[in-house]
Amino acid sequence: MRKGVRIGLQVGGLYLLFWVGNLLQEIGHLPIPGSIMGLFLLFFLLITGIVPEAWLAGGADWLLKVLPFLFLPSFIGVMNYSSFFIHQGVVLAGVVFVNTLLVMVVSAWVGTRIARRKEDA
Amino acid sequence: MMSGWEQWAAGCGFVVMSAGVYVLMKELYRRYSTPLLLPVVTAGVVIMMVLSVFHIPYETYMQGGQWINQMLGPAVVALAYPLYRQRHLLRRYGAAVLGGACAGSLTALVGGMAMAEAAGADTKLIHTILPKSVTTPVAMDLSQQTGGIPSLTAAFVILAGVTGVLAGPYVFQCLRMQHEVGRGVGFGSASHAIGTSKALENGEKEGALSSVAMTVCAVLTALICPLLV
Repeated sequence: MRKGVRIGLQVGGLYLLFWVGNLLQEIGHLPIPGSIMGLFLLFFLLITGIVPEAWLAGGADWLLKVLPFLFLPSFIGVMNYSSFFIHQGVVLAGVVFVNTLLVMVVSAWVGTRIARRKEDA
Repeated sequence: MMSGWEQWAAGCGFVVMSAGVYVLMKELYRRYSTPLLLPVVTAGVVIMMVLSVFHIPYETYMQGGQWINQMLGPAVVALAYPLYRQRHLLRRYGAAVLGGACAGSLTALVGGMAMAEAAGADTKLIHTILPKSVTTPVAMDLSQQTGGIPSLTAAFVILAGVTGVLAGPYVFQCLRMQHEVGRGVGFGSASHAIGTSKALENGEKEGALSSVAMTVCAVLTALICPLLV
């Protein structure tokens, strides 16, 4: 029970950082989304020790553990587009499928090449 | 019309139902551990079937679903933790992640645009699928900004995630790409947070690299995508 309360409070803290990130994005008219700004902000706070690691760790680990679940509602949104998928969606889904694998192979290949060079050096 | 209290109760009901179905599907996945039973996919299909059988519109479901959606932002913020814990990796593999993520983002945007055009998609649809390789909140923002259809973008983001998680391990195996760094970068660049959760299953190192790649890709795509369209 106490663990649940602690995680809840920590998730609240992360939500606050998300909110600040959105604020920064809005004020600065940045092309970078608020959630990513919040990520940078938290990383900065952790590196500088302003926020000790233990403060938000439980909440962060919990959110990352349930991350796939958080996509569920957006995924279910597909049901509103069933007729679209019958007509054009199949072709586009094919494009996304092939392109995703291409992105994966290209990025992994480049990443491996650079990492190996570093390891050999 | 439902009263405020009834809406709240219905929302809670949908959250509990989603969580229940997800936990069951996760158990199924654990028991038969095949990527085809990826919990987000099976749970999604089950809930869609339940909603259509009882004629519940998606908008009604979203009274509860939006609360789950709300947690996506703080979850992206939480990715600072694996980054921080694996910061020594960044010093060692920063260039590899950055290089791989740049190559991946360009392949996603330029390659995606060319392929969609070749497939005969109109401008609105191209703008809908273009940001599909990055995490949902970012992709939906970009879709909105460039004149795509954000909720449809969300579906393609999931598809990109699921594709990477389902087919990625086979592709890496076939091409003999088993370098931890390369795999992490690949999962993060192509399949954002869904890929990252898969990479985390393989190890905290791979997961951390994946989350860095996903973050770099999100930032790069946010910068490049509006210029392309």
